[in-house]
Amino acid sequence: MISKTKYSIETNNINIGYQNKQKPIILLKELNLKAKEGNLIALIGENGSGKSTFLRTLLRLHNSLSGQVLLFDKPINSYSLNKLARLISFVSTEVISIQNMTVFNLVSMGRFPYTNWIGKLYKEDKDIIYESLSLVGMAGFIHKNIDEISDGERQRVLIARTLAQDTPVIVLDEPTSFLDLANKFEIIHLLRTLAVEKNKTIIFSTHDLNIALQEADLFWLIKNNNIVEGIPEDLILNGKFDELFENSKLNFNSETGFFSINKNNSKNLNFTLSGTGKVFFWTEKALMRTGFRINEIGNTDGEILIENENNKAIWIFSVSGKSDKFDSIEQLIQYIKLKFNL
Amino acid sequence: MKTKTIYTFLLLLFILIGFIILDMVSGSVKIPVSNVINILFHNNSTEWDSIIWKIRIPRIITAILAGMALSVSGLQMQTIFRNPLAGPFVLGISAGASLGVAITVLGFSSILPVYFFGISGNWLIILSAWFGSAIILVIILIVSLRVKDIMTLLIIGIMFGSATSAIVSILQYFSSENLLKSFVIWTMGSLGGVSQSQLNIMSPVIFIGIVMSLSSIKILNISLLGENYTKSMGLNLNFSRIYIFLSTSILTGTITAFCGPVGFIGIAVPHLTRMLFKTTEHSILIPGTIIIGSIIMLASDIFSQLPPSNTTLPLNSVTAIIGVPIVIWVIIRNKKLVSV
Repeated sequence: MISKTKYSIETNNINIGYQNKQKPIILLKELNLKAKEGNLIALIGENGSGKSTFLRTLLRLHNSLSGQVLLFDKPINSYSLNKLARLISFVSTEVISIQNMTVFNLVSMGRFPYTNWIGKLYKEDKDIIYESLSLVGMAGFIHKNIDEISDGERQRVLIARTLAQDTPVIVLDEPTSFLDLANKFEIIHLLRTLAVEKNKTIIFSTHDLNIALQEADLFWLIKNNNIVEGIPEDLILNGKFDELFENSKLNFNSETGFFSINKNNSKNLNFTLSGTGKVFFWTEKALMRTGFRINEIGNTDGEILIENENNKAIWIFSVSGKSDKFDSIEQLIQYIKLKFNL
Repeated sequence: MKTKTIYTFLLLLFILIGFIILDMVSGSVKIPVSNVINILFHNNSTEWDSIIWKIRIPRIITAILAGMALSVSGLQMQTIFRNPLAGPFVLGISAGASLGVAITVLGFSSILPVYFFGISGNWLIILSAWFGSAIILVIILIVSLRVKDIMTLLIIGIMFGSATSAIVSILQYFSSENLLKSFVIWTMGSLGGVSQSQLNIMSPVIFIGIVMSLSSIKILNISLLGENYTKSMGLNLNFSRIYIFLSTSILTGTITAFCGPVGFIGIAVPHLTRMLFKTTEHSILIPGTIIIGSIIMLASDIFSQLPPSNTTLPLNSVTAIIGVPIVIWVIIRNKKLVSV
């Protein structure tokens, strides 16, 4: 393998967990992971699988039980606190709510490792603060209080704080957990833009798989006390993704890239669906959500035909020579449920 | 600094000077303002002269020192514990001082005459209070190096406070009426008991404490974000905790030693300051609490001298009467208690 990019973070056989009195509790075993510059890495795992502890270990906020974390080829423990703070920065899961603190105050804290004993901000410091805020699209909010802005905006400000800290590596613990869908997409996309344009290594943990699949360069997948590394597409094709959800009701469809909940109340019915375009797409989605299989090989329990009548879609359901017409997907599904005693 | 902030500071300084003058003319002996000014700039050596120079000015300086020291301590504690109800006493410093005084006043002096120690009674109380708070400080520092979570530290501090009060209660229970009264009077707090020679010791110590807290502005600012962030920004937590606890203890321990445990100023003034300046920047908040703390303490002193004739109200009652409405107002206005 040829690789010219250097690794910003490497883990050498590290065990992660807690030192207990009798014996250590190991959450993650023998991790050997590598992160490159300019990469956006998504850390995926169930609640309680050790995501936060792992991230905290990378930041030296938590000590690994054994093994070494290398930051730019040097053991993380060999750095002084100040030097470390110039290399790696952090956005935690806590909701920051402090009265009277302005966006400027918060972002300027990122300059802590660089300023003198009294924290004086020189022109260069202020320039970096302004630039960080405009990179995350929050330049207009500089004098607002952080209590007056939305959760999504506050998350951007916290990211701007890490940019002001000016570190090549940024670690974020569930940056999207309390955001609405649009903000989740925008924040992850922002991280991607920063990774690419500023050549930063950005590692974030998340439960939003759909978004991570679209934006992340690399996945770190926690499974059975270990972390599997790979680009998302490889992990899908080699089945690692399916394994992640083996024990849960969640089902990952490796053809569409969507998730669904396994439903056991649909008698495994299989329908043939024919039609085109948008109407076909959403009909299929609705039927699958209800728990039916669509256009799969084998016995069919009925046929659904989508037709156009006076510029409106209608659905024709036929089984054993008998046909019925419906004006909406809702009516269609209700009828099928009644018909098959669901 | 914003012009509005500068104007607020100027206004506060103006109010401070006003209260200093007001405090100078208040007291059991009525001295008109014109005479006060005359006394300040000419040496007349009249009776009024010695009242102003020997009683009122030391009292005013004590009030200013106590006000600023307790308020700055309270601000530091509220910031580092990220808790709006923290105050200068959360570490148990003043409880330690009380224990020291209780042991001396209620314990030893029932066996030994006060003069046995070769120092006057007043100094003895000061030294025992100082000693008591120093012991608690050492315990707190040792614990803080071992305990990672700052909330645990807060609870331990409060527990120390309760334990020492319990011991003080036992001592009180077994002591004579006379000794008990002199101890209770000490716990009520007083600004009038500090002599000029004692001020010569107290002022430089408070000065050191204030300089220490002014030099921790940067630490205090980022401490608002909590320990995950402060560590990831490169702050040495052990060092910063010790430094801030040390300055708080110097300030609180000294004031408690000389004036008794003066309550509420330390909790209320930082809130007032934040409300007035609407900022979290400690380079503004620390000077702000220094001035506002001085003003409130002078106001309490003036208030305590309101009753006619020679009586003055106990200082702690006055600060509580002034402080409690402020704390309640803060709680109602802010609704959220989790954030400072």
